[in-house]
Amino acid sequence: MRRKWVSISICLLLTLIIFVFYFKYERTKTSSYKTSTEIEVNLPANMQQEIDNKDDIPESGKTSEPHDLSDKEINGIPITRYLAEIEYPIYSDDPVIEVASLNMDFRVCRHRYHRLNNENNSNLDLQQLKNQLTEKCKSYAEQYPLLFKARNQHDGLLNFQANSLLGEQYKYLLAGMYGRHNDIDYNQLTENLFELSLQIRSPSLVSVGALNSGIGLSAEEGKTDFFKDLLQTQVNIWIFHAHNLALQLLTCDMPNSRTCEATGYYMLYKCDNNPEACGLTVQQWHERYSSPGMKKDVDIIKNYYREKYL
Amino acid sequence: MKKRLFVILILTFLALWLYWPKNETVENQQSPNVLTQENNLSDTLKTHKPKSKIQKQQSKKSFEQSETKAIIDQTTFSYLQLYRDFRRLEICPINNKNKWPGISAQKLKQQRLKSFEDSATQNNHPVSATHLNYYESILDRCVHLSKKYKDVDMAQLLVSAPTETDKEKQLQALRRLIQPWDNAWQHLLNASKGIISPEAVAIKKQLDTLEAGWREQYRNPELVYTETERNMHFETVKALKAQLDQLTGENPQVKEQAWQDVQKLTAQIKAYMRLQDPDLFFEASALLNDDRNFRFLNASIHGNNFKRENLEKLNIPYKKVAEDVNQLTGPIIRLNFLAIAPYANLLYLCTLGSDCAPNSIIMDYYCSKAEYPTACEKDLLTFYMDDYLSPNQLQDVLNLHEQLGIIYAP
Repeated sequence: MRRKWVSISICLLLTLIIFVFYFKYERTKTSSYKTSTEIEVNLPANMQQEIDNKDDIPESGKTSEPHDLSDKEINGIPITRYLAEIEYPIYSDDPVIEVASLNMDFRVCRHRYHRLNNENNSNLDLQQLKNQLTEKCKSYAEQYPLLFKARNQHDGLLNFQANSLLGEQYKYLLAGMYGRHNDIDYNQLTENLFELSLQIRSPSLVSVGALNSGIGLSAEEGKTDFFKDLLQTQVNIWIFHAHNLALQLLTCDMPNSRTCEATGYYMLYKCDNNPEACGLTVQQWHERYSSPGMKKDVDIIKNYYREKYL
Repeated sequence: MKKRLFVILILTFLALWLYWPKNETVENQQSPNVLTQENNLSDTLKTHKPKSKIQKQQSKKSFEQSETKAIIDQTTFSYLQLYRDFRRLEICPINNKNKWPGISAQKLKQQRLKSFEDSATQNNHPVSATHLNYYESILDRCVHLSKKYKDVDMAQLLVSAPTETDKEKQLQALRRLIQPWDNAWQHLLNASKGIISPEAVAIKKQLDTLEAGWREQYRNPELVYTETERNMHFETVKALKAQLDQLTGENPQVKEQAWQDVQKLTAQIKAYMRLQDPDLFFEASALLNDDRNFRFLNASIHGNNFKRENLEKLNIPYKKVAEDVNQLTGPIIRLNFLAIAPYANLLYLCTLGSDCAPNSIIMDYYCSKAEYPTACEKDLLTFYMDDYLSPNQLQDVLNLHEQLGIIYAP
């Protein structure tokens, strides 16, 4: 009897050892695969940005859509104090749209521009541009002390209550971006946000939405195909550039737009990569440095959006 | 009972033997001693092949030499034909660059045909029988060339093969500038980073070799690193970099001399672009743009990156060909230029006499894409006008094409 138990124990022990080694081996395989993938992949800038945003999704996500949270707090401060800062709105009477647009404006103060911050740079124009940006950020901080301070807390926006259908829809999509629900996949969310931004007609939201739309490069084939037909070209990079420029220029004509300034996000980003873009507005840059054919195709796309949304 | 226990034990050991991880020796490793590691590197890393592989490589080399000799000894040998074959193989969906162990050319061709059809279906543009026939004939041509030059280092052969005409001699002279050009740049980049002393240069060379070995694994599945090798690689690189940091020190005079050497070679290469020959123009501009891959259609435009380095950060005022052109024609936005320059450049090659008719290398390049069925039966300009470029874009392309004629007039 005892011998039987000893045999069974040995068998069990050996089975356990086999399992331990087997799982260890499998894990080794997985981790080595992961490492090589990490090294191989070199993500484009806008994709990296999307992933950065994804990193901000709270771990606790997947809760239901927040209801009336106007009595709630952000960073321990009652939300009413935040609302007081947007008593006289610039973009929309809807707090969600107003705060979302302001957050997009504040983005220029969040990034570090290597060309502007290059300590060895003695270029006076660049120094002047840097001073303008510093002033701009200072004025944001003075005008919106609480909202400006909370600008990095993306999902703080979900605590505001929308008072329009568009605001409600925007908040819902944003909640999806921050992992509060998974009704829509990430690519679709980006696309819908862009579409909604155009309906909202907030220049700040359209400007960022256009940059993230990826049309001509990373967007779904069908989306780019539409513009291939519209312009009659097969060259994706032509479409990407024309589409981006058209939308940035479209935002210049929208009320209270700050997106086209030399200290706007788009131009600062361009300045980082092309010195000739520094200090110019979007319109100046386009006028001076776009080819005649590009100008005509930009107009075609701009007119398409203007007729459809404005 | 004993018998049963014995069987269970045997089975257990068999299972352990099967599942025991093969490369789990990380715990036993120590940080590499970089001062003495040069000899050890060959044993541990794939930058240097193991001895048996070296032997194999040596015999392969002598075999390659005999194959090369066989090519040159042919009575029909022509340097220009060799060059054209080289260029065609560059755009081939099947060529000798990629290793396909154990797969016959015929099977590879079938795979390519299938993926060609699949990609067309995925994009909702089912491929026509005519287009498929064209694609198959392109693949056949590629298979034929791959077999012809199976064990031949074509780039090397272009440097050493006999030439007859003036043009062939010029082409070869240009190809012979590749190595000095690379060396001059390496020297300049090193000098810009303060890598000047022989010790520092030696370490940099080791780092470059390690990096080359690392990159090689993405091209050849047989050379993929094991976890141990990967860890060893990272540790070695880290240690070498730390050592290199200690040895770097700037010397403006050395940098200036290196920059002058690069400028001298640049002028020498640029002179070939004015000789009104499409092949010389292509080769010279590709060299000056650091883009020798026909896949990009010589379209590598300006930008900070050159030879995998950021020239702006290194304060090297080098301008690529395209940047030069962009400045001369009145600068336009980089992406905008990128969307017209390659096409103007290719049309300019046609003007200089390059074959741009149906079945030419360039038209086969477009024809071998599922989305361009019309490219198989058209010449380049007609294809651009009818199917490829927007009317406004075409106008820009033709303007730039005209300007190229003026800039590179003899």
